[in-house]
Amino acid sequence: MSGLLNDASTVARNDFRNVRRSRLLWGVVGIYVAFVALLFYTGGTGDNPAVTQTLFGAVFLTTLLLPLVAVAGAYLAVAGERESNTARFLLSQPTARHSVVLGKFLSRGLTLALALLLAVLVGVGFVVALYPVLEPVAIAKFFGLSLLLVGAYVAVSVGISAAVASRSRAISATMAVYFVTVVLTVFQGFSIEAALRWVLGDLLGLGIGDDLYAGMVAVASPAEAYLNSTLAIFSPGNFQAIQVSGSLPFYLETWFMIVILLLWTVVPLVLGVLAFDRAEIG
Amino acid sequence: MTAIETDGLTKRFGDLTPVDGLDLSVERGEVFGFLGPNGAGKSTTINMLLGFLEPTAGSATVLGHDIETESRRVRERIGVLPEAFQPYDRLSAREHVEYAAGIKECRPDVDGLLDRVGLDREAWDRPAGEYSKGMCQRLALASALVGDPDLLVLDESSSGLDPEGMAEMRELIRSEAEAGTTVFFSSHLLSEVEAVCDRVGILSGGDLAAVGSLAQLRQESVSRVPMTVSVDAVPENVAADLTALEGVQSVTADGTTIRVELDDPTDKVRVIRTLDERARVEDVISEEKSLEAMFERYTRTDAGPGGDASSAAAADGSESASGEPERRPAEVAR
Repeated sequence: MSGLLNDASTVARNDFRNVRRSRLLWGVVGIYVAFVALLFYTGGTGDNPAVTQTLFGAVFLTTLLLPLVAVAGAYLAVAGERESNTARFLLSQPTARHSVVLGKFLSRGLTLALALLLAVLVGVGFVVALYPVLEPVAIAKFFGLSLLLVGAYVAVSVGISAAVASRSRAISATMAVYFVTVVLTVFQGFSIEAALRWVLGDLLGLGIGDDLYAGMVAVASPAEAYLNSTLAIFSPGNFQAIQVSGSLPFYLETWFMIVILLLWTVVPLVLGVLAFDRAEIG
Repeated sequence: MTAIETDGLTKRFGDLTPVDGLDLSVERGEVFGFLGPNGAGKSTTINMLLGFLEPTAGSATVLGHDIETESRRVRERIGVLPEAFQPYDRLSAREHVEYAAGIKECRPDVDGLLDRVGLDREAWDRPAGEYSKGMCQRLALASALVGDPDLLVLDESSSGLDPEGMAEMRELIRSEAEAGTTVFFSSHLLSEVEAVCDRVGILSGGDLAAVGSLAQLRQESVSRVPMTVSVDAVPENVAADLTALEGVQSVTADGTTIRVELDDPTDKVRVIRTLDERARVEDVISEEKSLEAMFERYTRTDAGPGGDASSAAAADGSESASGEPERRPAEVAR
């Protein structure tokens, strides 16, 4: 166990050294930070600046962009090493393959967490300068929940990267996950929920309530789980976009969303480790 | 005490069997040259020893550790210069060596290692993406030497190097060997292996075609006299007719050339006379009896199972007719 952690942290340290010198990654991160900054700036210079109002926009921006930044920052983590042949150097050292996958997750996760922290700090800068009320708890909740979103998408990307042998497969599989769980989920008309309703309701004739559909979508998509979890930041009365009728079932509450996000972090990593353990490095 | 021992080691990929029942034994303290043409199965063998590939059948140990169940122990005690080594472009040589040291949990003298492999001091902290091929190989060797391994595995360590770089790499290998490290060295170039190895094994078609010291192999190789005859058209049944002659060991025909191996130079005239009766002899080439010629013979006739279609029939005929397996003429008992 200590060997695993030592190896994983060595892999992570080295990978972090390597990846933080990647201009491409910082370019993608820069785009996200710039959008967040723009949001906090326009929110702060408009009428009646309110942090939660701005965070509401930031949540949607984060749902769309942060998974993409995480995919871009992590899809090559293992597959890139296999394709460029540096994997031979790494795997000829006395390290177990699961340490490699775990180390990659740690370094890419840390990189993306730092990107998120940068965006939040920039936002806080604007809040201090332009907003009448600081609302640190809302900002902290936003940071914490977004961190879980980062963890889930980095884990999915690293897991896929460990399971495939080439760069092209890694990019197509991770982009497919992004497309299905983010794009198809956020745009309602053509979504996972519509597909579920069609299969379960129209085809199988099951009478399933709206809440249960919403729960299924949240389980199927970390982005949706993240969106649901942010109810912890916003009180429904202030936001027309949030429609909550009566009390929520437990499987739509924030704590359950957090469980889903954590499962989306652990399960893909475990699957990635199992696949990479069996992989033939030819 | 053996450094590497394989027992019927086999790897199949679908219809291909790049390593086919390999029995190999490398002693501690020797420099062993693992020689064979590209595609003979050298890298597949090494990849199995390192745990990159799982053997289809057979087993192997490295320094007494099973390659499948104790792969990590194996890699703790060896240093590897991998095939087609690529550095992390954004990391320096120093960082590569530190990386290897971190995983091997040791604190080597990093400067000393980089110095030992002859990497220019001013390159130590530059990103390896800027390095030349030769500098990359030095960096790889420095990383392989971390933790003072008992066995160095060098997979085509001279590929991509210019002649000067190759000579320097040989010098480095020789000095490591003198320090007592066992070296397992794969190459498709005889000249590379010849200069540094105590013993060589020639891999062909997934198995060892010959193994022994260079002196032994050289002696074996001079016991066969090769000659090549060009004719206007290869006559029918030439393989059977020629092998019926006294002193003819094997016959291969390819296009309009016929290759014959003889016991003695004086047998040549009989071959030419026989051919002259059936075809127009256009040229006769006598080749030097050398280790190079022998190595070339393996790499030519055993380029693939069966070789190309035109030579396959004649080659097969000659092998069965000569009654002696072509593949293991130089096997030397140890």
